Amino acid sequence: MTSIWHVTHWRSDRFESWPAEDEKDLGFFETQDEVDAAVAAARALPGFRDYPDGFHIEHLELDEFVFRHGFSIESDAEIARARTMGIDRWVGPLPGDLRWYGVRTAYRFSEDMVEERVTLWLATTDEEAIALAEAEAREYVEGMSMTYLGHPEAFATFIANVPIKPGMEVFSSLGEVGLPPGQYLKKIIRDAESERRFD
Amino acid sequence: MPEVFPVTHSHEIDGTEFIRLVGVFSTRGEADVAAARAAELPGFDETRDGIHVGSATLGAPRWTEGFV
Repeated sequence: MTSIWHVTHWRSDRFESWPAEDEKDLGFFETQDEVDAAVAAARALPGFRDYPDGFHIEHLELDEFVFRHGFSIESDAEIARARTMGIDRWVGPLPGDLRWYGVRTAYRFSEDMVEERVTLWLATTDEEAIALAEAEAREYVEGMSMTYLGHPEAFATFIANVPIKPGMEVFSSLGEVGLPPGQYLKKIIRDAESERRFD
Repeated sequence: MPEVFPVTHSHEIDGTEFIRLVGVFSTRGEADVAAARAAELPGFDETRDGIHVGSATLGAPRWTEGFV
């Protein structure tokens, strides 16, 4: 993987947060030195010199797909609606921003009994969310007659920096299971019958 | 200097423009694949017209005259 830098300039007259009222794309660079030179040169130019603190530098991997879960039009609409009222409100995450993650962990109680849990964390990356969830998982099993099974899975929600709300998706996992739906449900999802054994 | 292919998305609601960088790719082919992949994802699927595959030269600054 090759790391590159993306430099943008945000003119912010009324609103400080993303999206900028007038975002300009200054280009992509291979080194920090190139970034520094480009920003220093731009700072001396008409327009940019009136907003010397408006430069935003984003670090990303070449060939990396950033918005792999899409984005929330509802969050955008919330920002837009707030702005029509003159309110600067940040709700949508950008790479590097804190967002809510649902992390699934699994535990073995006995030979044929497994518990799955989804815990919510604020983190900036899958790895960070998993580290937080695994620390909690180890605490959860401490002193109990069960084991943490590993293989955590993180799900990044679409919304950051806002309280979680009813209806928000907190975990989703998509994959091929190689079984018809009926068999999959029987094998993986405990039916009401076996669920009752927990009571 | 190598050429890269940024995939961007923009849409507007109530006069606010939202610009997202979906990714920067080393070939136009990969950028096209990413654009198609984005088109199927939540948000993008409702605003497909906003997906754009562009090109840029690594290390070449833009807006070298500033702006008014």
